[in-house]
This record gives sequence, C-alpha cells and structure tokens, in this order.
Amino acid sequence: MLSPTEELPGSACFCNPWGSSKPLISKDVHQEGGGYTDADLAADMNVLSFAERQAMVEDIHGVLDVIEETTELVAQSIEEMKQVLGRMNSQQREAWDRAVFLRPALADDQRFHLIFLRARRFQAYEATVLMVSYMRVKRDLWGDDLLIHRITWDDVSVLICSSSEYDVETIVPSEEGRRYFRNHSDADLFPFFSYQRRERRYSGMGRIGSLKVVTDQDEVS
Amino acid sequence: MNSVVEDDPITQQRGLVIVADFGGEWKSSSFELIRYSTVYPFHTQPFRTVSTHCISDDPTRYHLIQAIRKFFPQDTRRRFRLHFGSPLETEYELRTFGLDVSHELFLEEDKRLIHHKKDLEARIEEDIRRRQQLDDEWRRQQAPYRDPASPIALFPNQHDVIMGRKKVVAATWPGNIMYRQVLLEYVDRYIEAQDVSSDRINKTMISVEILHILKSHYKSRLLNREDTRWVVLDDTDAQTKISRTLRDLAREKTTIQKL
Repeated sequence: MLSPTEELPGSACFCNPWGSSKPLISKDVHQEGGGYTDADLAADMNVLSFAERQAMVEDIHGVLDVIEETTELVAQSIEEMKQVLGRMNSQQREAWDRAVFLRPALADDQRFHLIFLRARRFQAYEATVLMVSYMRVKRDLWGDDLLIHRITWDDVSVLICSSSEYDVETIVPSEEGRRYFRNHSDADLFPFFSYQRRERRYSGMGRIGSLKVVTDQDEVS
Repeated sequence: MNSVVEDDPITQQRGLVIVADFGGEWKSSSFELIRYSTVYPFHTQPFRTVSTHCISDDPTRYHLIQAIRKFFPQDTRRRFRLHFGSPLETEYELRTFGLDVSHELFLEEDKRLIHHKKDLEARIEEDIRRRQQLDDEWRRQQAPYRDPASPIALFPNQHDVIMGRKKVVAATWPGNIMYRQVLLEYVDRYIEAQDVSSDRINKTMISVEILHILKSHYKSRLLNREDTRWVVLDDTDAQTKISRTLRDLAREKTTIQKL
C-alpha cells in the first residue's frame, strides 16, 4: 500500500486552491496529532463496549441483522415519535408543521415514519430529530410547494458546472442483498447537492437565496 | 436519490454504503459542495449511512479530508474510511469490505482512476429509467387528488389558492402569489365598475371571469382548511371570496392614489 507520507510531492503541490499564497496543508499534518490517524480510529473504537463495537463492524460489513418490524414495535415507536415531536419547540419543527398543515395525513403516515425509524434503527428520539431536520432541509432546498411531494426526475436538474457528463449516482445491489451507493462524479460526495432545483414558474420559493438555479437554457448551452 | 430510498424498504432497513472517489482535477463545484455541506449536514439524509469509503489518489486531498475528519461526529468518524493509492490498491482495499468495484474501473496508460464509461452509461440509463418508472407510478397514485374537478383535496397543489387567515402561507404559496397577480390585473376594471354604476352585475361579471381564468387556465382550486382536511370551495363561495379580495385591493389602491 502506498503510504501518503512516503510519496509526498514537493511543497509546490500544497498550493491553496482558494487562491491565497498561504499553504493550505501544513507539512506537520502527517506527524503525530496532525490528521486522523489509525491510532485515533482505534481510540474511537475502544470507547465502545464489545457488543457495540461488534455491531458496528457487522454493520459496516453489511451483515448486521435487520430489525424485525412487528406491529407492536412499529405502533409503539410511532407513538414515541409523536411524543418527542410534542416536546419540541415550534421553531425546531417549523418545516414539519408546515408539511402537516399542507398534508394533514402526513402526521399519521406510517410509511413515512418508518423511513426515519429504519434509518435510526427504531430509536424514536433520533428518528424524530432526523425527520424534522430532513423536512427543514427539504423545505430550504425545494420550497413549500414540493415539501409534501416526491421530488421527481422532472424537478431536478443535473448540476452543469461538473466537468464530467457522468455525474450521476446509482444504487447498486450487491449479491448478498446489501446496497451500496456509488457516486460517479469526480469530487461530489453529497448526493443531495449534486442536483439543484429546476427553475420554476414562481420564483422566490426557495428560502436560501444563494442557491444557484439551473435553467433549461443553461443546460442546452 | 432520496425518492428512490423512500420506495425501497430493503435499502431503508440495511442502510447504504457510500463509495465516493475524490480523484481528478480540482473544480469549482467541489468548493460549492463543501459550502453546501456545511449548511445542510450530511446526517439529514433519510437513510442510514452504514459506512463511507472515500478514494483518493491526490495527497493534498487525502490530508485535507483526514484533517476534516477529526471534526466529524464520533459515529461518522468511526464509519468513515479513506483509501489512498492507485486504483488497483484502492480496489483491493474495498474488497476487504466486501465491495467489488472492479467492473467500474480500469487502468489507462497514465494509471489514473477513470470510470468504465460504457458500462457506466448503461447503468446510468437503467437508473434513470427506474427512477422515471417510480415517478410515473407516484403520479398515477396522486392523479385523483390533482384533478381540478375533484371536490376532495388531500393536499393543495402548487396552483391551488389557500384561503384563510394564515398570512405566512398566503405570502409564499405559489398559487396565492399567482392569484394575487391575476387579481391585481383586474383591479382597475373593478374600480371603474364601482365608479360607473352601482349596478352589481359588472362587478359580478369580473369575479366570474377571474374564476373562469383560474379554473380553466391555471387549473386552480380555492381551498379552505377545515380541521384536518382540505375542502374545495364551490363556485358561489369562490366567487364571493374573489369579490371580497377585489374589494379590498380596490380600496387599498384608491387610498394610495388619494395620498
């Protein structure tokens, strides 16, 4: 395995891509305490109990058991989520409240709640926080009119400033049933940001004004 | 991406392994993405990220990510793996995690990590086709609620006008913005109708015309929220609401003109 410390190029490589002459990366970064080393990882893992560590390793390798979703478990978890929502202040759950205002059935939508419960392995509090955060981000990015809707292929536009025309991510099913997500762009890690909202008829809906809107004409050009 | 996960219970249960390569040239979108990632944290994704594997053949980027990694939440840190080296080396490293990416990569003379474009094109087409299928299925399910003639409204569409006292919604909802714009075009005619005669027929005709435009051209419905459901106003009620709004707008405009 090529060690980055052995193959480090000259100092000219460590230019600041933002344009400043100040070096972006200190040469001390590969010395002890500079970056996140294997020792740091070991220390992080050692904090866990044996069972937790085992579960995490199994999870990373895709062999962790799937939680059996009994009717009682689902009902109890959703009830707990509602209690947690009730304890949150209105500012935190503003986007969620707006979504429920627009689509009242969402408050009791089991399928929707299950997405977040599964994402947090049925930890009700964490699942609720995730749900509220997700709605906030969705509202920021897509606006109120798409808050309660599925984001379809027609609503998004592939970011044109990417150099590669293959900047599309795919979910690849592997043989053992585990899914892995493959981002094909050069440096785009976050799928959420690989797409931006297509310009819609009524502007000013997105709450973040700095978002670049990609129009159809831009795509053509 | 999120929409696909929403339709896939197996992915929801098992979580996703993310493989991202940070090879290639630096580009402006990278910095934009870093900026967005600080605004929208990665942990708001509606699925469980089992682990993240980053591939990089650039020492600068490698050290940058290593340094940033220290500031990740502890759980993310444990699940984050950064692989540095040639494509072959990173491929072998990924195999130790049960990830086979050999069909996606091949080596060229300059030994840079590049994608197997032919295979990739087919898979991307398949992916887009699958997403479009899911989108179409979703549209079919939602079609009854989007029909302007339907008296039931499960939720307001973007062209629908939300009536009521919730000013915040009225100021930002696209249907309400459109509704106000349409009404503003008719205000002058309405003021004239008020001046010329006290006969209500002219004013009623204007509100009927507006209602017709809203329904036929914009496919809009006027919705009122009652408890936990949306009710579509019938033509008489809708016309009354439009007349009332027109009257208010006319009064505002006249007051401003006087000032």
